[in-house]
Amino acid sequence: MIGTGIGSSSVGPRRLLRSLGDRQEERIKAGVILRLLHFAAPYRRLLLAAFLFMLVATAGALTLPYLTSVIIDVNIAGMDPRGLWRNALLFALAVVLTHAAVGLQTFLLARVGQQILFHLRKHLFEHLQRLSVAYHDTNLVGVTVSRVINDVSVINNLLSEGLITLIGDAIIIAGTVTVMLAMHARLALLTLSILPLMILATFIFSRKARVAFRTTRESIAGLVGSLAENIGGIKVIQSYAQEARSHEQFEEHNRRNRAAHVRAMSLSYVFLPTVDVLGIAASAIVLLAGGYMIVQGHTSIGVVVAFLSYVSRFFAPIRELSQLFATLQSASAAGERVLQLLDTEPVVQDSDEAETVDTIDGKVELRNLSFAYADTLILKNINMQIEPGQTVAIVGPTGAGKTTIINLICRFYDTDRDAIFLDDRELHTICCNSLHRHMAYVPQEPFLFSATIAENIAFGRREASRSEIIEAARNAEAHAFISNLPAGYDSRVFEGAANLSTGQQQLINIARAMLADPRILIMDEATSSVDTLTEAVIQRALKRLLIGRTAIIIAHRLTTVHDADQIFLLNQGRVVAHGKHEQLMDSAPMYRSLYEQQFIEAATVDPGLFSC
Amino acid sequence: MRGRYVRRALTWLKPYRWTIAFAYASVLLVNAATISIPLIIRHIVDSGIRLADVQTIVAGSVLLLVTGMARGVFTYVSGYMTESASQNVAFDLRNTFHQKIQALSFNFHDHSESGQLLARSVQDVDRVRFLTGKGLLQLTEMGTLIAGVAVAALFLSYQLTLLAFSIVPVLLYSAVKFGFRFRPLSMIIRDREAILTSRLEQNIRGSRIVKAFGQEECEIQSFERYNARLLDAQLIEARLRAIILPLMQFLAGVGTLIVLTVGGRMVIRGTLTIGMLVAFTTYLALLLHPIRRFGWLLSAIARASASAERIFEILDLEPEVQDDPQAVEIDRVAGAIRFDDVSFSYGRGRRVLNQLSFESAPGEKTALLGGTGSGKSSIIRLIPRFYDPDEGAIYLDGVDIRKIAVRSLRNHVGVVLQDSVLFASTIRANISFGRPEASQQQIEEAATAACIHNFIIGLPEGYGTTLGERGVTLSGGQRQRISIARALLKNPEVLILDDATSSVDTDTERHVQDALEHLMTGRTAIIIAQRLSTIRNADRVLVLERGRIAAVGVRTSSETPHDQLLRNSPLYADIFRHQLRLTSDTVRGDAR
Repeated sequence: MIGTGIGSSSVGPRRLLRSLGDRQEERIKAGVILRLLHFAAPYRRLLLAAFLFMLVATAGALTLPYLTSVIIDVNIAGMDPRGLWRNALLFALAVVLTHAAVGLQTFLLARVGQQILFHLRKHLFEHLQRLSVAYHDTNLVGVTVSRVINDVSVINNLLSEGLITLIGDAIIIAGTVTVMLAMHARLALLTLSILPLMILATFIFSRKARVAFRTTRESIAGLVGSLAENIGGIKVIQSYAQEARSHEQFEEHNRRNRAAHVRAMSLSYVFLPTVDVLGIAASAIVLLAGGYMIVQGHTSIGVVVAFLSYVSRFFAPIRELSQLFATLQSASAAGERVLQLLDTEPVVQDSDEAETVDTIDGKVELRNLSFAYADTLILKNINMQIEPGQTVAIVGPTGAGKTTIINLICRFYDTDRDAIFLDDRELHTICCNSLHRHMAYVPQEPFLFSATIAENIAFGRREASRSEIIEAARNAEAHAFISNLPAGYDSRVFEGAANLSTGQQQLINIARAMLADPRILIMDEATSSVDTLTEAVIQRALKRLLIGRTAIIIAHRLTTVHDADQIFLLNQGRVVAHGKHEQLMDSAPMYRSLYEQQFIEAATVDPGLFSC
Repeated sequence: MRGRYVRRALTWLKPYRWTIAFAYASVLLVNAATISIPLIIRHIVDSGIRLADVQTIVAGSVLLLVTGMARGVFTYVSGYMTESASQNVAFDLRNTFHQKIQALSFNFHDHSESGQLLARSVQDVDRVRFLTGKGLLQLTEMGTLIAGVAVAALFLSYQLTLLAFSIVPVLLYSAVKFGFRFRPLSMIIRDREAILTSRLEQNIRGSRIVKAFGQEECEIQSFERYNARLLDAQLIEARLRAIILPLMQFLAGVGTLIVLTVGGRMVIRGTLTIGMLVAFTTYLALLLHPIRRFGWLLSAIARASASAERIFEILDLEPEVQDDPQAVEIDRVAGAIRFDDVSFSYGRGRRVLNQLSFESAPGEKTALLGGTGSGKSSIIRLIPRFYDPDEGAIYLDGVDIRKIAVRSLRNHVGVVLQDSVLFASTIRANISFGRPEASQQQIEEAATAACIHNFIIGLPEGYGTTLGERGVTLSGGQRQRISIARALLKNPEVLILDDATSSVDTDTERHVQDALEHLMTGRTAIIIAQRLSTIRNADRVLVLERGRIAAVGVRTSSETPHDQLLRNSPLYADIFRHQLRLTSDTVRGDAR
């Protein structure tokens, strides 16, 4: 409680290194910080309360050594047992008040901080749901995730703990200096001569720690990277009998990591004792000068004891203050990134006149549709007339614009008005959500969420009953293999669907579309080859899915083009031929050669076989 | 706590015992200095200040400073020494761990998750490092410090010590309790954060699906649920933190209060000096931090012992495939392969191969055909001894492969698996992976034969192009061809491959096919066939069904295996027709 500056520092060497070393060289932008403060605005009362508690705690912490000096000088030295009891009571009261205030302040700050975090994450997630597919197409998933998780917590460091703790530290330092000066100015000045040395030591260490910390971070990344690669490639390594060599490489990373850590840690082992010695030097000054003054009759023993206690309180606030700049830096950088995300407007938005549609027939029409992306014209004057219930195949070489058409019909991207019509209604007059309720999308690469299989199938209709789910799975030919899984429909799909084969993933995607029972089916056919038996199963399932709906399919399979009511051949953003398969085989040489190359060979059949 | 594992972890310190001994000796000196400092202060106060003896004050202050500096030096020494010893332990553990997982057979890697192994090697080793280093050192430091302070305080005044230090057990108790409640809580928080992160990631990855099915609202609700769960855990932690830390400070305050009032009365009565009183309060302050850390330390050590268990669990595993003591190196291989009544199952699972026998002459191409679970993949995995058969034996040039040194066997058997794993290094290093000493010319030859040379030289940095996360990303077909070049350069006598390609465009597909043709020329090849063209080129076709050979077709001067099987094997005819059912009528229609 009133210890002298000789206790061990209250922070471990590793944490110390990290706390002082972890900062980036970034500019602080006041505008960003100010905008960030708005997120804390709803909690200003709680924050004010926390601040008040902090003032009480600081005042208490400053009072206790003073009370001690009074007890020693007046009560003990003055042989006044009754005064001793009175002051002891006061001391007890101060102890209770101080620590109650510390507890309340800690709790309030943490609470506000976590609430801010919660709401920021919520806010960001909702915003991400509004953002168009275009955003996610151009931004790496990991980066977006890091905005919501990491950057948000950095901002929290600033808003809750950061600012208030730092103000508190400044008050403690100022208060301690003031009280010391008031108690005994000359002794205070002598003692405080250590302060600049402490600040200097902290400053030098912070700079060195930054470099050392960065090196350890890199060395860990290298170690993990090498390890991850050797584990991931273990089968190749063993097949090529290269264990020794890959171990050598790993050992090199391991060695570098050890060196970086020993170097970085020994920095703290220099710094901590240095601060310690400075603290003891301050105590020695207090005892030497104070003792001399007592002998001269200029001060009392209580003052010396109180000073010993004040001296021990300097280091922590100085260390924390030296972090102020770093906290502001990283919060400003993180805040800027988060604000940027929040400021991104979704490309696709419902216009004011957009309405909900309850039922649709499924007539789709493209009228002179053109579309440019990043100044390149991708689609030029596309016209399509698709009657309800028709199956339409879109074919063409890579880069012809097939995917773009699908993106536009789904309104993943937005286009000019009067180009796309659904049931003769202009697409912009239908609100996106209700449009999507009548559509189902089967992506080229089957996508499964890491949830149960049942949840994956019911993704488009979460209220579906188990029997409906099973029905859909049956129709999608997925029921058999699902029932064979250990937990059946409740089996979890691992991340990346590692526990399911590609064919099985495709079937589940089909079942999902089946259950959603859309009027319009949009599909990008898979190109990855699965074994022939599975392929046949998928084809059967697809056929069932197509019955009674409008289907627009980017076709990669023979049967699809054969069965399609219309085929659109795209090349360089234009429809170059249009008709049924037989017509196109006769009239469009490009279709014919594409068909022979892409479809027949992809069906894994050696044409030569048919001569036999 | 699993004391066994703690002890076992400590044996890893053995090579560094002198360093550690030095560190512990230094820590004792640190404690001696720490304990003597309040006594020096007491001396200054009682003999110097109270008796107005300036000389004693000066001498005492200098002594204080010197003691402080000595303590600083010993703190540095003990810290540095333990750090270096424990970093060495971490280094050794990681090396051994890495060697072990490199040595473990496919059976192990089939069932282990790479994330788990990573966590063991990085996090768990780090916790054991802490245990062997700072963890035990601090525990020793605290134990001896508490004991030392108690003795010194008793020596000053046993009455006051008994009274004032009565708070120490309470402090210790709350510290330990807090430590053990806090740890699991922070683990829960980390778990919930991980769940939230993965929800978010999934949502972003599946953004098209989410939008196309109009599920944004549901996703928001589900995210909020997990978000709230995280918040709950964090608020519990906040409350715990807000109670326990001030509570401990408060208890320490009570201790000071006792010293001031009881001690103060003793000073007034003349049974205690002021200097002793000051020394007492200092001792109390000295104990606060170690005690507060005590609970944390104990739970950290408990966690480290669990980590040690996880590490040793792996280190204690024996690779299933091991060199026979009499294993021989083989130099030249002709490439005759014989399966003799081979039965095999993965782990304790169902038999996937059932008394299977076949023979393949040097230079012959054997195609394996069959549905999922027919055993074709298992056959090719047994040849390089990725697994060992349960019964029966496999012979290479008449030698049981279990009598051949694994390394030597694998040098002569090349494998091209379906997923082409490449490493995050240069293209050159990837191609020469199996033969690091290969010359640039040899590498280029291999790449040319694999139909990838032209693509590589088209890259700005050619063969020096770095692949992987920080480098160039390749398409499936390109990766496959590089892995074929890798196998070509190794120039194995026996080649094993899975010809399924997941390449996207026909052009690439043809390239891969050409590359595979080159690869097979002049070698014994065993191929899992996904294409009929492969079967037509094979010398021998094995049709597999449930781990047995259902039919065999052999090339003769008059007949291909295909024709033979079509005639003899209903199963083959069925598989064949299955493939045709998708395509034959239509293609025939077009051919007309």
